[in-house]
Amino acid sequence: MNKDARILNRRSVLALGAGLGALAATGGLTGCADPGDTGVADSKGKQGKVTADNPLGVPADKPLEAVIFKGGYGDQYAIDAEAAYKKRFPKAEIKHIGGQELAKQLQPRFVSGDVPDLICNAGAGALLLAPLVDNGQLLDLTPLLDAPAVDGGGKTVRETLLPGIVEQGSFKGKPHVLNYTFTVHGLYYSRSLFQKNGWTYPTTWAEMIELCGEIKRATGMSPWTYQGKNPSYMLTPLIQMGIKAGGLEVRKALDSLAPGSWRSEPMLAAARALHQLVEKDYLMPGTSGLTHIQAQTYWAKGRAAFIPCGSWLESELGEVTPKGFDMVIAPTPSLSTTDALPQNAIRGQGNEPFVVPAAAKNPYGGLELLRTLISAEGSKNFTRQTQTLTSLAGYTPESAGTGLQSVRDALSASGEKTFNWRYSGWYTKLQTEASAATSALMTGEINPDQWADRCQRAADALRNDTSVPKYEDV
Amino acid sequence: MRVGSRRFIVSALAVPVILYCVLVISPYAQAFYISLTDWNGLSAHRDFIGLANYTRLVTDGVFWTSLWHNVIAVVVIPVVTLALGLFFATMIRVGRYRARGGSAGVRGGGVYRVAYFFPHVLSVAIVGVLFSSVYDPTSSGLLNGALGAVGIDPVNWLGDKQTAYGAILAVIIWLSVGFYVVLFNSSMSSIPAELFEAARIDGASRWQTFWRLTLPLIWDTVQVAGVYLGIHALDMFAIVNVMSAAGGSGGPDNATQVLGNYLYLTAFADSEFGYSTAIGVALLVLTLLFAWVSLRLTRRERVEY
Amino acid sequence: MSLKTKLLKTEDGPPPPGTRPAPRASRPTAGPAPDRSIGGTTLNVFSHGILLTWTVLVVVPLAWAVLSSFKSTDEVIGDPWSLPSKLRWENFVEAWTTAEIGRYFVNTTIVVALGSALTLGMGALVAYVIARYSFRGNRMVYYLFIVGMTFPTFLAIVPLFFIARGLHLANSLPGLAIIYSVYSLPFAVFFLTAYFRTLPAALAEAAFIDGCGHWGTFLRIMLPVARPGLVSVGVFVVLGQWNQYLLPLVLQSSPDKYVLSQGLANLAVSQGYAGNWSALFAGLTISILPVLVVFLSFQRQIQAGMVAGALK
Repeated sequence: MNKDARILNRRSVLALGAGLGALAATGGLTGCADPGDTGVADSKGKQGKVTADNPLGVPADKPLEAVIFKGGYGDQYAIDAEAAYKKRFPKAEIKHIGGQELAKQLQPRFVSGDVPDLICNAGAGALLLAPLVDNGQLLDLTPLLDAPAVDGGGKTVRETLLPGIVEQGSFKGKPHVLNYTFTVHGLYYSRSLFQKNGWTYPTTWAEMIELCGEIKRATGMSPWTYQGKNPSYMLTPLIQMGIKAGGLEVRKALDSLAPGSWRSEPMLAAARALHQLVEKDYLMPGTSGLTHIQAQTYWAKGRAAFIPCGSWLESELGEVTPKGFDMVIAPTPSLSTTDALPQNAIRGQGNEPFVVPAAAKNPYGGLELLRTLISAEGSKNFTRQTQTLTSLAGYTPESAGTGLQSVRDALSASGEKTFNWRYSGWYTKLQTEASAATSALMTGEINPDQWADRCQRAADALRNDTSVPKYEDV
Repeated sequence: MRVGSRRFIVSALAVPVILYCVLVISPYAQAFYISLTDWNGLSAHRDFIGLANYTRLVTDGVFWTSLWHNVIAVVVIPVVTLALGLFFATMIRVGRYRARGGSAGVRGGGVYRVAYFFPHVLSVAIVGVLFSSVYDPTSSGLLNGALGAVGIDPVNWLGDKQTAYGAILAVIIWLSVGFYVVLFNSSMSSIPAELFEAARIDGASRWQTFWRLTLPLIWDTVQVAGVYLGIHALDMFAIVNVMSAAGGSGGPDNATQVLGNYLYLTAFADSEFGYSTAIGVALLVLTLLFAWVSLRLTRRERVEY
Repeated sequence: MSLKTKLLKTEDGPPPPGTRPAPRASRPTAGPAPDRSIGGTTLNVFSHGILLTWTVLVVVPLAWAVLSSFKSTDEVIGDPWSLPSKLRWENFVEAWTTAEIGRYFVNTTIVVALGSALTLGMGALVAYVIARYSFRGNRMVYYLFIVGMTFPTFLAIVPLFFIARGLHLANSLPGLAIIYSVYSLPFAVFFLTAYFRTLPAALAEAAFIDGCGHWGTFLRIMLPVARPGLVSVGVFVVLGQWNQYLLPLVLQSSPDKYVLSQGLANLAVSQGYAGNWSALFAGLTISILPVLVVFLSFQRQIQAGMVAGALK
């Protein structure tokens, strides 16, 4: 062997590493880095003259930068709105970035203070909004909400939005987020398949179980599948059934991390109901190992009759859906005839959260672009491109597939009874744990009681953890 | 020293050393400090919180699950890969010492080496995508389709906690074995043929020849290979991130979670940069521990010949 | 001395005294004993059987992916053993254009080519200086690079993420190449320092006498001589960078800058894409086949380079 100490072999490299590691561990190698000061700047001095034409007082010559999530909906709808903006403010330079994994793109920009003027913060890998709100890094959207809506006949933007949208975007009473799209969550099935077989959508869980048996007997297809590797898709109908059974107190308890919120009788009843699918073998074999794409494709290809999903499903499946499949959404069945909410009550939720950073260079430009997007014209354009509704109330899309039509029907049937819960956005750790528990429940690994225990433990831990900021609906 | 040496040394080293310090050394150094803060990576603000991230590690069940999975990988992957690698390398060479004058082992040995080696040059992430389809839980998957042909019901490979991690480990072994076949084959071909001849004449069985002659003579290579595999097995990030679930959750229910992936999620999904860096320090400790253990284990008497 | 050179030496040089039983070794080559022949044949059949089994295990998943890339989505979710009803080349068009595998492929090629070139250039330069010049801090520079080999990249990833963004190296192909190269540098320096040490000192002396300067000696004399070492390191580095997943995943967040492994994984699992499985398999095939071609063309060099790299 070469004895020259300067030339190492792999053995000596290992030894050297061990030595240096020991050195580092004892504090020999601690660096120090202090990223620059973040401007949580106020927006004063960034506003131009307010006129009837320009209610937000957009400075006409300031450049505007928008970062838009480019996922299943694409980003053409935003590019169209930017073109309209450019028409009104020809001197404004517009920079458009369509992208994914926005947290990775934008996090360093928030740290340095060099932020865009409008962000559509959606998709996997989106920024966590709650800590940004806590740091005061997001603009209060009140000026936008109080501004007159475009072609709104004198109504403010706030007055033209669907009920619950402003609240859903509020943190501690302050609106920081505007959810642009509106989706409902329920069970999807193929209307043509049901008509062919003479099945009707069940309104109670007992009927659901009966129908599942019939589906299996008559066709051999699996009654249910779900997006196994993303078990939160199955948690959603579970919570919906629980809330519908026990009423809005169940929702409030979940959102406020109340003791016993997951162990309440309605939640347990919902868990037991879904667990019947496992006991009776009504789930498609292998479901828990499927990605959302796989599960949805198998469902569209007729391997299973029901799949739980939000109303983005129609646009997500796109060309994969066979002609004449006629997918429709329906609210979850009632657990019993004594449910607190009617069967047609459905979960409705704003998605695609838009935010304006507090340190934006042209915050009023960002707000104005958002005002353009949420107008009737912007909404129709969006729906035409995506078969998905925006949060604007009462506009009529120009064309609607069966899925979108059923979403609109479900929404109007649900009306005032439309509900939503928030904990999943506030406490991501709880959502992760409850989803994992749901996966275990749906593979038969744990029973409903153990499921509730596991979720409850996670909620209790969060409630008692003072380092986690708490939220509530005001 | 020759004229201009100093200038040459400085001009030659300047760019690489500066780039290296800024992009490699400084992140490593900063990591130790960040792990002592509660930084969420969304603003410049961060508080020094001492060892709080480390005490949290101790009580974090997912951390211990991930750590345990890493330990399993570090033991299972080298052992199985080396065993298979040695076995196949022996099989390829086996003809040689029997029929004297035989060339490089069994006929077609080169073909085997090429076929075996190929998966090793594919990107792990790409192999992960491929095997996600191979492991499809329905009968449309390649593996379940094959099992179905012999009457076995589809297995939910990646969706079942019992099989998920094993299935992922098997992929790593699948793509690693070939390289070690080539490596051992090359070491074995350096052993003088006369030694095998002598062993044969002394009446040694093939089994004895392998254990008493071949293995001791290539033991150095086997050890290096083991350390090499072990260090790679500490990673596991790409394969778990690709195969576990959408967004690489390490699921089902953390059944495939490993430290690298947990660190990634903690930083880039949960925005807990301080805590994730503490996981990184833990991973460093594990790496160094592995280095130390392998140094102890490979302290050996050299076989000379 | 490294294990590899040691073994080679044993093979090439005279056998150590006392190990070779001379009379036995000089037995005639022809006429193996009958028992041996039968044993050999059985064993040969047996070993071929075993070896073929593993070959099948290796080849079948790859061949299946290629075959599936010609299927329609309906056929993909049907019987895995069925053949495609026709060759749907449009899947490849779809994968290459709509799913942007083409762009990812080009991106990867640029990043790996540039990254490996930088690694080799900087690695050779640093290694040469460390191996051939004695100066104060020589040892320190060497150890500085070696530390990088023992530390897991994961530890650096969070600070690196912010540093790279700050220096505009993220979301940039040359930027990623630079980052690849500095993280490959420790291995290159480690390997090449040893290599340059083995080259005879007289070479450089002669070059100097001929009037080459320091740079001239390095570029015109030492680099060409070190070619075999550079090839070994090159194979290792190219494969390593081709394989990278963590760094691009963290640093390349805009889809037009994705590398292949990242883009393909994104296509397979990411939200927002319809379930176009045939395009996924076509994408897999596009990712695998060129590698296969390169591998088959250079398999000797690749195998030798990897073996040498691993044993160093």
